[in-house]
Amino acid sequence: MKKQFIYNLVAATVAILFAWIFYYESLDLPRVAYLFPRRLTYVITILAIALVIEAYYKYRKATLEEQEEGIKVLRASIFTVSIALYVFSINIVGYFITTPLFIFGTMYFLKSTKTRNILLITIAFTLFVYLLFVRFLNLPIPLGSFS
Amino acid sequence: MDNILLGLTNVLTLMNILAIIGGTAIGLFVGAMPGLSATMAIAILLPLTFGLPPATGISMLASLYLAAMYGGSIAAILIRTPGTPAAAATVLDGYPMSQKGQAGKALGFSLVASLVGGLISSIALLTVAPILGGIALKFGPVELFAVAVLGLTMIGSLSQGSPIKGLLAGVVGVMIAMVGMDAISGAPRFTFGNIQLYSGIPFVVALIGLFSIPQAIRLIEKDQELIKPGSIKDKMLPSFKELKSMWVTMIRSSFIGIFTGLIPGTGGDTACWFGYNEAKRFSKHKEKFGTGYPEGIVAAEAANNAVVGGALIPTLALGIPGSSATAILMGGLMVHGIMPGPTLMTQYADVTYTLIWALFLANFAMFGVGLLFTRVSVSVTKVPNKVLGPIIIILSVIGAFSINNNIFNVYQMLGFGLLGYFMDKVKIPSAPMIIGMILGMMLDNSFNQSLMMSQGDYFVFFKNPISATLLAIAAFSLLQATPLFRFIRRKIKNKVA
Amino acid sequence: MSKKRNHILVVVLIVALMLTFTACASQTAAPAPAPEESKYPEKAISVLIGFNPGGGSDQLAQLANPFLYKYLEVSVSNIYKPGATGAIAWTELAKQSKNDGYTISVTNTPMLMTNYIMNDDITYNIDELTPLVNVLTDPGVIVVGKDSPFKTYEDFAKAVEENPGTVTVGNSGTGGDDFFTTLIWEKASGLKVQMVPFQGDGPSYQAAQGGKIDASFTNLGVVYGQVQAGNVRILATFTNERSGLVPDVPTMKELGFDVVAGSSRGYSAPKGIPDDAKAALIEAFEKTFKDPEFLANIAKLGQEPDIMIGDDYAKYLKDSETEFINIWNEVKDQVK
Repeated sequence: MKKQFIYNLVAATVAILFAWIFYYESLDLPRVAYLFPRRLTYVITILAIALVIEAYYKYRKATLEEQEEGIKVLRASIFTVSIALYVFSINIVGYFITTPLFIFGTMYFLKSTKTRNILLITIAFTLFVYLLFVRFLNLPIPLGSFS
Repeated sequence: MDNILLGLTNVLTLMNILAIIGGTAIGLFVGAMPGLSATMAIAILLPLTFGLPPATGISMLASLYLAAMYGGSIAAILIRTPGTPAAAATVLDGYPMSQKGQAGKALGFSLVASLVGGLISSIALLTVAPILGGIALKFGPVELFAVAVLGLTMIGSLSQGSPIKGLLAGVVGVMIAMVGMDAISGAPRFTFGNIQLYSGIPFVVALIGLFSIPQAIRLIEKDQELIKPGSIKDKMLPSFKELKSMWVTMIRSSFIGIFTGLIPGTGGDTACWFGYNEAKRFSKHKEKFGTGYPEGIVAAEAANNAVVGGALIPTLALGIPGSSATAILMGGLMVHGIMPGPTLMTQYADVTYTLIWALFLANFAMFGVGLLFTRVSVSVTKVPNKVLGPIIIILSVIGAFSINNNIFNVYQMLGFGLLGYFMDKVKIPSAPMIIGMILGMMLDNSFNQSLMMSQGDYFVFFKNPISATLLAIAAFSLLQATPLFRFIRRKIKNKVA
Repeated sequence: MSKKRNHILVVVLIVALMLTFTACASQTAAPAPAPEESKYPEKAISVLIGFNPGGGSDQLAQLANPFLYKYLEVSVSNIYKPGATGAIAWTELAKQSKNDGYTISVTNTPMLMTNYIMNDDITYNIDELTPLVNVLTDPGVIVVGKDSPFKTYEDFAKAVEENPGTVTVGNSGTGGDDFFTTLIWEKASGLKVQMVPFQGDGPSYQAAQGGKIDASFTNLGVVYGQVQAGNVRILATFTNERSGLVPDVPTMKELGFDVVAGSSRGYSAPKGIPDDAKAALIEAFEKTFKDPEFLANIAKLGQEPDIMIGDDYAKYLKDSETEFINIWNEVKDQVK
């Protein structure tokens, strides 16, 4: 339960920060444009404080440590980082290089299924995206340095 | 009346029927794919239909629009990622049903509700369109402001557990909707000097991020499977006994859908929440909503399919599109030399009534094709989580990109994904944030427009009968959520007893 | 050992796959060139559209593409990059697109210029473009609902004069064409209205049609269907001569104010495209404009062609730019 309290504290801080960054940005705006967002800033601040208070009471009351079972933190983190790497490398390296790499890499790392099947999935999916989005829908997908 | 019958005889040609079935099949597919929307598919297919007779071409696109509304629920139920924004509310009860191993059943409920919603709205379109069409014009800024306020009161009832968390998410959503060029002053707001933010953050991007990225991570972070695989042999369609208790919900949601479709500026993305929320309000089992309760699916799906007929009413009766998809359909009519406007119902009655009958028949095509398509798609529940996770990521990335063909939207999607994952850990619901984003801009713009029109008089919202009524309902919903209301009700009950 | 070899095979396969797709994808833009001589055009042409599919720019491009294909004999396809009222696509056109003549864009006035005049963050300008042709101009009009007490422009002007700043007049959004038309008109007539910005032309005229506001400054093509159906009434047009579509409506010039305004759509390419490419494109457009089928399709949209070729279009853009800069400098402070 202590973990939940800390999470809530972080959430409230992020919300307040977010609201006041927007408030700061609104300083140069004309009146009609800033009126409503500034009111939202105040509301967010109040709600965020209320969130912390609520979480504190729950933390005081609760005695049992609520535990979520079986989360593999390291695995989830590596997966998340690889999503970010994938997304940010699309524009640099090119979609049709990063995508098969991402599918194959993550599935291989997660030991999703047999290597042969992973390969099949990789090919099938890349082909699917290519045919549907490039050939049929004519989307300007970033091809990176190979184009 | 003659025109109505003429339309019926016109529509029953082999070519038209094939066009309807073809449109339905494409609609189911684009609906089921997160990121591919009906609006986009209609826009891309429109030039291809120029070679066809106008009635056939437009019928095909209208069938597509209808089928995509159901298609969206497939991904929502099976992988917790709404295939279209209109299926966002379906996630709340659809995915929990899948987790219980009832994926097929959930899809069956969704299909039946879509059929009912679609049929009711087609009948409305066929019979009372000229009467209802005028309602679209009754909704100016003052009335839209009241709609937005009423919509935001849903946040209260949709935040299970902690109302504070729901409200916070909702208000942050409204704040996010403020990003972009302010329509009133033309000043860029919160764009941090980046022109990519000038048009705001497309809420579909946020929707894909908030729902699908956390789901993909959740799928791989544990070793056991999250979903009990449903069997293809499971009986999909609900029995009449199961449906009996839901007729009221389905009909209520259908009417909500028709009216939401009628109002220009609101469509399936709003209607599904209204339908869901009202079903919950009138239900005797409020606590069951969100836990895999079929009535939640039925409420959302009947509403979003009813939007199709509703949105076509002002389009055909007045030449005023009720949604972005119908706006493109209207453009298609113009290319065929048919000037949208009141003449559609008289001068071009043959085309118009053929289209309306086509939409009516498309409901049955959707049911038939949908049944086949759904049987196959249930097998998604058998795919191992660790395969599904990366595939969801690939689909989300390409989906976010294809909204505006812009890589920047993919970065935004990822940002919302990480936010969604964190919100999930803190148990802050994401549904209120979505509602805030949908309604935020409407709230701010219509408020300022109303005040400009009234020379700064705040009472303008109470002087107008429509907005006064809607605001009264909104006030009542807020009151209903407070302990005071429960206290009064108990008092009344005691007296009666 | 065999397992390891298996893995190597897998890696080789994946690399081969990636290269194939990348190659295929880039080839879609470049089909096999004609071997004899390199002469424009020899590959597909992309048209950047800065607005959503189904919008006005898209409608024009959808109509024109088959004719460009017919006269250039290469495929012409649209690429949609909506956002920032077209600025995302036009920034790409000016700054990132190759100036080889294979990327062109539908350019709309006044947004093409007002975007960067009003916002410092938008950095392209028309000097970084090669204006090719203007195709049509959707003239500005003043409309009221059919039940409005204003039967003529004089009724409207009189009401505005008697109640300065309170008659509500809709436009399609601050910075849009109708916004500037209203400002130019206010300056010319010395009158003052309460402007109400909407998100787009549709909501603006519909509010007038439904009697929510007193009048709307919008475009003829937008309301033409409603005019024919008798749901809205046009009080005046901002054209040089009476429009053939509504011959009974007086122009602003006839009413004594020299105000001509509207929203134009044409085509531009990046700056510095090869001369032969520019010539070939302009020639194809000229042929298109003479094609009766194309003209018939334009008329179906409720539009009238307003053709300006090459340097004429460039001069038009430059003149409009100067005009908008002047107006914006005058009103900037009262808007903000």
